Amino acid sequence: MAAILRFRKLCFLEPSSPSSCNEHKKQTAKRDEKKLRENCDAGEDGLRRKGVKEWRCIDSCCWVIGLMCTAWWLLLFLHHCMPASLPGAEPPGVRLRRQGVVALHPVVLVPGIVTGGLELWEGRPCSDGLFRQRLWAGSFAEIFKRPMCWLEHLSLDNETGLDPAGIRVRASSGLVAADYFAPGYFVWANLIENLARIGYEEKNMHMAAYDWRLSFQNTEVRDQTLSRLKSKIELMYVSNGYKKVVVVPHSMGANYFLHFMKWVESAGGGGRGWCAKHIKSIMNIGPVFLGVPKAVSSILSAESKDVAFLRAMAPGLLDSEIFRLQALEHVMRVSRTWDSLVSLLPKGGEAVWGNLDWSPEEDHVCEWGTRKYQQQSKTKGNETDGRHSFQVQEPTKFGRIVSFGKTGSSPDAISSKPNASCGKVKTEYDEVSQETIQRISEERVYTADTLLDLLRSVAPKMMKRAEAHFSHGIAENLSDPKYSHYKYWSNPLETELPEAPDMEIYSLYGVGIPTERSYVYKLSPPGKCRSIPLQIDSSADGSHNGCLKGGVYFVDGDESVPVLSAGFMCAQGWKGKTRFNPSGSATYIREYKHIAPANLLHGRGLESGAHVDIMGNVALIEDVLRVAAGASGVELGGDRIYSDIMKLSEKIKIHL
Amino acid sequence: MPSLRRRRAAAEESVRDPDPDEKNPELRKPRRQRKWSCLLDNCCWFIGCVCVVWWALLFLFNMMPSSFPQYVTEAITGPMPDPPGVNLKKEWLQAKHPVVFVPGIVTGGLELWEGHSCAEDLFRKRLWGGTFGDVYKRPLCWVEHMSLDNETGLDPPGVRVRPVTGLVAADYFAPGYFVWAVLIANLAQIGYEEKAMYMAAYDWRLSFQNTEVRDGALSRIKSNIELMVATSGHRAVIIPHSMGALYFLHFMKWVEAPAPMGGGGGPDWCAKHIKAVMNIGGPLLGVPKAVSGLFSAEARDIAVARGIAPGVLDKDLFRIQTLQHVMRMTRSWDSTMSMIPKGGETIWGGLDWSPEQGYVASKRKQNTSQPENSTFTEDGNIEPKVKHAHYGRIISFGKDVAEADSSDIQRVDFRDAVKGNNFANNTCQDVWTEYHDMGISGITSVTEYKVYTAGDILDLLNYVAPKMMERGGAHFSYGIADSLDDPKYSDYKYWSNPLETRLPNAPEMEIFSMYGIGIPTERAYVYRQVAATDCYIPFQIDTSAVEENIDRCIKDGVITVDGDETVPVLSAGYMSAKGWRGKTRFNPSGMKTYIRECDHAPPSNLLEGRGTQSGAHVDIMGNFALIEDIMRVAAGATGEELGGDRWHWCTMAEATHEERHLLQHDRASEAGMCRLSKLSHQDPLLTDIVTIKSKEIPQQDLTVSVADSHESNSCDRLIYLTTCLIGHKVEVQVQDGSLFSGIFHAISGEDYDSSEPPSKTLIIPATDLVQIMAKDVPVIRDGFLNELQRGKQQELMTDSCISQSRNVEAGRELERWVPDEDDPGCPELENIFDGAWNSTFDEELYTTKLDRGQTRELEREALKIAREIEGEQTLDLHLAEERGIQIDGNIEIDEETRFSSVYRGNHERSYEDIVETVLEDEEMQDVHDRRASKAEGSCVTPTWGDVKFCQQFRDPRRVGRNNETALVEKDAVNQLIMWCSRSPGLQLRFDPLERFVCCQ
Repeated sequence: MAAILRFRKLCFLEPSSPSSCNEHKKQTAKRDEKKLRENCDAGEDGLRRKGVKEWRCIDSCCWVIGLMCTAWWLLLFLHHCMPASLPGAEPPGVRLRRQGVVALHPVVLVPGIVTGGLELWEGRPCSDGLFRQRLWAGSFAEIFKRPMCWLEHLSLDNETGLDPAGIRVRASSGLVAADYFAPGYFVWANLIENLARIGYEEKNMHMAAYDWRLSFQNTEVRDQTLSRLKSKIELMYVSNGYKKVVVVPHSMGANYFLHFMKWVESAGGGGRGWCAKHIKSIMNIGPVFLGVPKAVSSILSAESKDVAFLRAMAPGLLDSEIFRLQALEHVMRVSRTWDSLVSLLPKGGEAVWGNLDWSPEEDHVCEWGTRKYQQQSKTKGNETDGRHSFQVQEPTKFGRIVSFGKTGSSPDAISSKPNASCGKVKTEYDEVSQETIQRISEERVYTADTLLDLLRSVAPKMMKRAEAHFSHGIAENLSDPKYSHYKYWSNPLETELPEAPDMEIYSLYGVGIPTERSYVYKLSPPGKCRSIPLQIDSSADGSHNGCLKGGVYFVDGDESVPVLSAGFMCAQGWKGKTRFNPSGSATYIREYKHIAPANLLHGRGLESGAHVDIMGNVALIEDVLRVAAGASGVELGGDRIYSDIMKLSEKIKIHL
Repeated sequence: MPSLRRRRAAAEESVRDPDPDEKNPELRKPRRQRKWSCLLDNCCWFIGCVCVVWWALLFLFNMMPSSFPQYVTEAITGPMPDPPGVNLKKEWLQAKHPVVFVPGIVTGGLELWEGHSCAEDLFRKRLWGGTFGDVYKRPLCWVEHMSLDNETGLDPPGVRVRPVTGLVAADYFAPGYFVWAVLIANLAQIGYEEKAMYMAAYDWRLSFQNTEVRDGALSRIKSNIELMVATSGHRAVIIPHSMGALYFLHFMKWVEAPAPMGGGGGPDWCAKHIKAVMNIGGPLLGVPKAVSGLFSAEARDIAVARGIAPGVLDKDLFRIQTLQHVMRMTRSWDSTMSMIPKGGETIWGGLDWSPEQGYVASKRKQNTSQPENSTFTEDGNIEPKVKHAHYGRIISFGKDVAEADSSDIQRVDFRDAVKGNNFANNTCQDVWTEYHDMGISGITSVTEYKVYTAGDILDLLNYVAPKMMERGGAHFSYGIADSLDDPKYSDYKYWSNPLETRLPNAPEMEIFSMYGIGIPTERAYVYRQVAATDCYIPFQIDTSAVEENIDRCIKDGVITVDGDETVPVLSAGYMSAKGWRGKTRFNPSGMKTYIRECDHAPPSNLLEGRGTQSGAHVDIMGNFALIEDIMRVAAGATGEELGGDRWHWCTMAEATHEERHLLQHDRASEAGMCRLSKLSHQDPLLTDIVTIKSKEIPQQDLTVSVADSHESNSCDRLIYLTTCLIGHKVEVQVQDGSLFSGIFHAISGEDYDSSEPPSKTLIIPATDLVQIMAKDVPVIRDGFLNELQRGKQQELMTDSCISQSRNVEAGRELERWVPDEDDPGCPELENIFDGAWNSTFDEELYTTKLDRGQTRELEREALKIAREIEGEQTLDLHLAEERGIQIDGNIEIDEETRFSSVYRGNHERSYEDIVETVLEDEEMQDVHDRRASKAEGSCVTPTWGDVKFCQQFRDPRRVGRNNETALVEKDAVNQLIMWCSRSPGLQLRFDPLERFVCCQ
């Protein structure tokens, strides 16, 4: 203690209390008196001013921090002493284990876009010390430390869609690649843990991590990812007693695996029947089979409803030039080098996504909550009634994926192009002439078909690059030899499923959350350093059955993927023997109603239906576990549908 | 701020409340008040201060550029050498062969997949490797989960602990303690990434075959190697470390064995898929450390700890019983049994003999050239001061026993001794060791046997731990095969013993043994029996056994030899030096083996961390020389190109070091490790004439003549090497098996005309030659230098190597030459110069007198002149060659130009002409393409007048995409660089972004 005291004296000379000053005066020799007096006077001055006793501001600060630290340590200590498991809900794995469900089929997990980790293997000098550290996922600490460097390393080459020279960023591998996105934010971890409870371990569970920025074929070209996956599946098939694998893709992983199945039977050298031999079932979680409208807005203006909302709340924050943020511009520049984003654009054109006046979801009523489902289950018997009552209202025009609502800004206002002084961030918009943008906004409405033209005009390089890898149409005649090209493999509407009659395809997704479906755009207000001329018109609010909010039209879905995209293929496109599914693989739809977590303690909820949180959904985990342990779709209970996916699908008239 | 103050006030109040007297602080006695604030407030204040400072530091640390520590280090210790990855990248080395890492015991991470309730929250957390946080938090739980089942050697029920997969499995053992990380980082520099690197992680606790049974680990490795070979198109380079070497031996046999027991890869799987196996510190013949580990769960470190603080480890206070727990745990791991010394007494030595006999741990001043045979038979008679340690006695009870002559030791056989009653009571049931079953009489009988050699060790372990050995006996074997054709050797238990199994049939494959030397390594132990108390291990290393004589081989009860701190040289090197060298029965296809020894040089200061020249068992993975070797092999080099065997290739060690190793190796040659024999064996076409004064045929010289080699480097090397042997006693083995010994007289690279053999020499033609063995010959290290450095070598050393002081002990006594008395050719010279002589000899007639004071300047002057001469541009091919410019084989020069010694003046094709013409075509195309692509660069147009050459080189990442641009092969670029760097007045400039190399 004495040492501490002395130390304190050293630092601050005195706690400057008058009493102690006096005391000191008595104690200390006279030679110090002068100095001390000054000190004490200063202290007394401070005291008088503040009217508090003997503490200086800095002392209090230290004191408080010390208190907090101590408390924190104490809590930490208690936390460590706490028994490891708080009594809580029993995980589904434990329950199923007790029921005798044990590991049988090997499981392959295919992560989606964004969730997989990326790590640095070679970089520019600014990335010193980051070798084999995660750039993406994990703590994201580098964003704050060296944002520019980080962005540079994450982007790909604008021409080739591959690595820029001198930079190698590669996907992490193993289960850690996508078990947690950020510390505490699980993606696959819950599912993995429950699988482990019934006996899975790494010899029969594999995370097919890939570089999600690349186009699917390029993952093979650069990293041989598809070959690795093939070899891994074959190995697991053999070493687990010739049991077929259960594949669990999530989000974009569903498209990736579609691509894989075509690849493996043609270019991959597996030959016809490879899928039939090796794959038991594919359990797509929140699949993006037909694309998501969200991809449109992110390519067009690098924003989605969250960003738009943020802008509405705090206008200017995102656009502020003070910190040379230009966050959106950077995001846009980087994300436009990612080919995979293009694979998420809506597929199937107007036939699927609706045209100017029609859309499959047109009589969707946006009254979020449980009421809707109750009503629907009631009216299931007499659909005509419900439909009748809906038609009273004006149908919402979801087909117009991008519409320029209020072209409020005048032409001359926008003509002030960003000047060179802040031209650090070059986006492709700099190369698009003002007239083009004007023309774009005058066109007013874009459907899924014309949308591609729009994107081609605003993002010519990206679309040119990516359209060599992806296609977004509907095949007229699947036997056309051109469909053997790999760019069609990931589009379920332009490719046949492999010949595997025993294979099962599941679509597992959440419903009950408003999901972006189409956008109202406007030209951005002029800004000195703003180079994105378009933005979501967050002021657009309207009745539209309550579906338009903040410039975004919402439909039912899992927050990212509309029901239509996730469910249509299994509800209609592949159901029975269709031309997309010539061997008649069985398809099942399992929907999970979104129930938000009741309180904070539940974290992200055990019954969530949100796009990523659904991976912690107990019912979904149970389904996956049962199938992995050998159950078939029929044994699970076949389809389980809450939304109007069947109705929607019927309205889509494409040749099957 | 107000809120803060409020809190403080509240807290203060709560502090003061209990004492109502102090409501009014002004009224308090000053002393009292101080005390109060001092206790709590000051405490808080202090902690706050510390926290703030800590945060500030943390913040600063995070803001610090990551290269900062390096700057600091360099500022203090001078510039660090570039890591090999950076250097080799400049040489345009590129990733070629896929690389497989096989980690050893202990270094691989293990994680929990299913556990008992005490490990509830540890799912997929590391139990082994990483922070080891749970060892402290719940030691018993940890031990329970790390142990395997006693009976099966597999998981205990309800527990699944599995190896971590991926590169993270063993890149760092604990935070900051690298294992593979440095190697991985360097490989990544030349373009490796995860698709071409695979960490063959396996559960190192299991027996090798069980890793396949439980986890399918061998199948995984097979599948991954096949995949990488298929995608890259090149065979894989395997890098096992430590026990990984044994594991990979097992794998190679497994993969070629037919399906039910093996992998069904077929008999040529290894030949098709493996380029090289580069064992790092592989204990191929086991390690004595494993014995002490199994016998009493201790090693030197633990024994030392006990010596320092007796009682701590044995205290029952906290029910720690650490050693007992450790023993119970490690005895359940089958893999530890894979490292029991193999080969029995033949390899590890018997009671009186061991291959390392004569090894001296400390620097030694005596003359080393002792007659070898005398040490064999009459131990101690010749040099009574030096008592040779009996390394063969791996365990001996009592120091006196360890040193006694074998005839003095009274041994009572323990094998049939009846084990006594179970003296263990129930209190220590939780700590299971098999010693409980032995009883006192059993323990005593073990002690009575006194000395255990490598052969006895097995019986001993069988006796004290029958269950464990029974389990392990099904998976491992420790003998030497008499006939490898015996069908029993197809069982998997023999696969990991190099002495009981054949290498696969893969003549193209290469095996490297890379290991450190220069660190005392445990070889044998002195044990003692401790008082038989319950629950304790009845045997301990006797730390009081210290030998203080000149040997100092016994220290703390441990007898050490040279090695890498864990693995003795014998175990790491023997197979490559002898067992597999050439075509032997263990290596029927005759695949090449190379030894690369690394002399241990400890880091000079703390800032260097674990050093870049270390030879220690694990730290060697950060050794730059080793990493460079691995990278070169991975990029396509063969062992021959690396320079074959290297004895101290990683450090420029001072003479004493060298001396020591040479000594030791020559001693080891008694057991058959003769280095020179290897070289001759490699290339039977070498030309030598060996002249030998033979003992068998006295007064006769033998001449040996051999056909010439083609263009083999090793011919020169051999001749060069053998010149060092001139005048030494050698033994020459010839084809028909007979052995000649005599003094080596001459060697010649020319064809010997055998028509009229001289009478007194035995001439041995190279066609007959099998090997030349020489003992106690210092081989200068220059001969083993890296080929790249050979250019710098100024002189060919001939007999100078014998006399050069650094290679012979400095203090060698000069012996007076006494001529044979009856030699008529040797007249009496004694008094030839007696008498008065008037010499007209003037020294300055022949030499320039040196002014002693100016030597420095003169030297400098001479150097300058030399440089000037060397720096002159030459148009003569041969001069260029002399100046170290290497002519690449790719350049087309007609033979006459290349080999003729005639100087034909400038009008002939000179070296530079040749280079030019080679470069010209590509250059022109380059220019063309550069213009087409409008790429700007300072060296777009090459002008031949002012000698400016540019080369565009291939960027590996662009292959396949930019085929249209003219890309020049690596060789041409290398050539340009090499040429440019050697040409004075020209500067090399390269631009990786533009992918251009310019020389201007």
